[in-house]
Amino acid sequence: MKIAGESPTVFQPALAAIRFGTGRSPLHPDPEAPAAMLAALAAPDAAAGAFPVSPVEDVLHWVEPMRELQRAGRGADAQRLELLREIRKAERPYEAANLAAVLARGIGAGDGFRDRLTLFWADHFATAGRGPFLRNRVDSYVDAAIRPHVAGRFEDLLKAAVLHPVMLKYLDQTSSIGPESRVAQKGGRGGLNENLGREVLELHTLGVGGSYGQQDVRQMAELLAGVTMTDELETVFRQARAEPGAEHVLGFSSNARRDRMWDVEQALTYLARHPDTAAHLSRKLAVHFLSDAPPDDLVTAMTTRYRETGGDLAQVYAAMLDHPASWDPTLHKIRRPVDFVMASLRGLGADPRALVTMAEETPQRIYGRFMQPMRFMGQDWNEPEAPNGWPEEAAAWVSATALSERLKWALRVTELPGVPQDADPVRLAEAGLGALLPEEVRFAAGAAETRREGIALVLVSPAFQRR
Amino acid sequence: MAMTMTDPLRRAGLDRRAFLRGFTGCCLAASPLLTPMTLASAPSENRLVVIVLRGAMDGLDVLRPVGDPAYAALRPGLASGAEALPLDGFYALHPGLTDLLPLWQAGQLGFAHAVSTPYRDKRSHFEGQDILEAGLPAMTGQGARDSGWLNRLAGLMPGATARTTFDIGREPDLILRGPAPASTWYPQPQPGLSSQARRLADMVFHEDPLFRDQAAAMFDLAEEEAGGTDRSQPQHLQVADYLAAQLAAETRLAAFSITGWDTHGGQKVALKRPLKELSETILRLRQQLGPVWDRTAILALTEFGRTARENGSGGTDHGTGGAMLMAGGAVRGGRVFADWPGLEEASLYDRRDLQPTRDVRALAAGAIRTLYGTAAGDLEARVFPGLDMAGTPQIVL
Repeated sequence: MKIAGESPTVFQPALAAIRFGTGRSPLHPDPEAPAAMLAALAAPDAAAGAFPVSPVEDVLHWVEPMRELQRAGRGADAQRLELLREIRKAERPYEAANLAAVLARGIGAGDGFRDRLTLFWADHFATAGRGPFLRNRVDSYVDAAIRPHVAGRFEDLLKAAVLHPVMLKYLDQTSSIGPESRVAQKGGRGGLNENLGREVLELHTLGVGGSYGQQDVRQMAELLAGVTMTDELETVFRQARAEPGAEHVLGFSSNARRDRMWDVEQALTYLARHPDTAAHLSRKLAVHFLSDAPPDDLVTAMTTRYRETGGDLAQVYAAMLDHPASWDPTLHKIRRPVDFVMASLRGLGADPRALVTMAEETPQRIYGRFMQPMRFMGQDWNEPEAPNGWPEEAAAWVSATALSERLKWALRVTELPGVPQDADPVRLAEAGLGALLPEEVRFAAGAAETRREGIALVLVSPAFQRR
Repeated sequence: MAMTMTDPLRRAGLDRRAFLRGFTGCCLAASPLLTPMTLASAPSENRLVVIVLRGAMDGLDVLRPVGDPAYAALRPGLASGAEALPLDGFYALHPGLTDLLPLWQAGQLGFAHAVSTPYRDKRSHFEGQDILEAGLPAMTGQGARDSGWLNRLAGLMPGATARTTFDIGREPDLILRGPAPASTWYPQPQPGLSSQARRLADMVFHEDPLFRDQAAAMFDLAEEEAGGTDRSQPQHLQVADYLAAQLAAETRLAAFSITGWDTHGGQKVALKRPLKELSETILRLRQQLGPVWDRTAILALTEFGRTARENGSGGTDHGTGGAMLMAGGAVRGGRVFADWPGLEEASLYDRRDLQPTRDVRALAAGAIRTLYGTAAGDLEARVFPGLDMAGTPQIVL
């Protein structure tokens, strides 16, 4: 680790591409300045248009046939199982196509800052697809609820993510019923499920160190009781499931007479603007982009900006990019598997459209060449082990077994479509690392006996794994 | 220019032994060049395996206190259906663990109930698991995440090498993180490199200590891989087979995880898979370990228990007190260690959770003291800082 003041801590283009983007590219120039990164973020999202992710609505045509079989009762059990299998079979290619689009966006991006922010916030609001209709739809959720809001106000991002059907299903909100609600009174069935209420406070807003207690978790869950989704996968509020009376979550109180969904949104806005949320999110961003132990004054500057602007995320990023710690030349973090595969293909100058074609023609190869290897590298795409998402610590990603998976993938990367036929280890080293290329990596790239091994050695080198 | 180009390669080639030493520890006792005789006099013949049950296992469902008068009313749905297996008149075993019943009868399966870590109130999986694995009263303070208790125990074992301690899983677990050397493994075949590329890889990894150590371990594993495990079986059985082979050789401490315990809804169905994995893993270890089974203690720990009442989704929410399962020829099985607090509402923690009456760390510490002769002072100051072991029952040997 370098001593503060020993090295220049001013903006460096190569560092900007590696630390805040999807990596360096032989086809796209590095960002010129923080202002250019923020301007690109404010501009329309061209990559999303070029590589569309299919929406959740695409599964709706399965809903009616399923409902009919459910009405038919037990007699139709066999047909129902058959339909479930059919849905599963039809949906898997969509999941493959959506991952291909996500990777293609990062590979072909101008600077990739928006892609990295999307990955960060998708991880902050981590979900896995549950149930036959939503199982393969996490990327659709991220595309609709997360990506459009990454440069906006946090309260809008929070509402979009927490109230999305994929999240409601993942954190059991769809089965939460107020214990004193009309539904519970009438049928005696149902009860509160605290899962979503708890994670909103613990993970999404205040943070586990925040100033809330079990009582707030309970009240938040009671406030949310009634939020659920329709058979048509739309978020709604069902008054009959609502817990009567006012709820109090920290300093927020609902008004029992008002529209309850409005109250839920007010509570989320209150939580989004809470000082504990400002501090929690600022630290988390700094930990993700810079180092597991970011300097206190950086976190303070970001927290202050968050509070001054009411959670304007672009402003918070600006505060981060303005701080000298953002340009510390020592690389503290490790590229996660998804960043690693994106940066590898980007550094090789691969054509992102080839991935989309691969997904259309042979979706099972997206599973075999990306999803499966990423799983063994430690990142089971769209199936995080828990709602707190992926670990941040460098040591969590660099085990002997995970490293061996990265090496195995890197040894076969030149077989992937879109990778130029004349891909060359030395050119990859220079394009991928630029001014940050260490001498031993340049040497190994040139000294390897085969192109394949030379490219793999560059990609698994610590200099390329770190960011 | 020629100098700077050849230098790192030569340096890496010459220092290969030094990397390995860096990986396996600092001193002569840890060198891979040691004679087998020295190794034989290493730590102990006893084995400790920790299974981390991630997601918060419902202790009240797995080990049901059917003799408590309040139990049936709290669990109307969960207690119905397939019959629980009576153990001692008060407790009954979840039907998903039926295959383990012979172990109970042989005194090789036991439990502790109404136990927990010192973690209270926030009921976060992630903080709860961190506290369980770090072995600390709280995660505040610098360095709380730097090491886990099993790693600190390994550091106290005379003559421990990297093979003494094994972490099995896709990600390194906090329980084994820390300064003492440890090995990792996950059921996947290793990559092949030409010898030239192999030498270049040493050079590329050399400057970065984190990568250097893990790469050395990766290449060591690749060398010994060939033909070891049967990859056609489910992963948890591959893990059990591999672990049994390590325990029969040099390994004395090991940890791995079984997930799937976070049963907020549909718990009857949701618990089937994790219980099956737990049960099959234990039985496979017994089968493969042969005589070593008698020197083995398996402790299955979870971050906290779940609510005493079942919720509206046929599941349970995050709670406090729960159960620990132990198995192996070295455990004092056929009994449940518990100071039972009762389940009537006034006895519950926060009027919702099973009240913990014992720190699960004390039980683990007591087992370690007996298995390895570790001094109580070391256990209370270094392995589990701040722990008071007074009055801990003897759960092994």
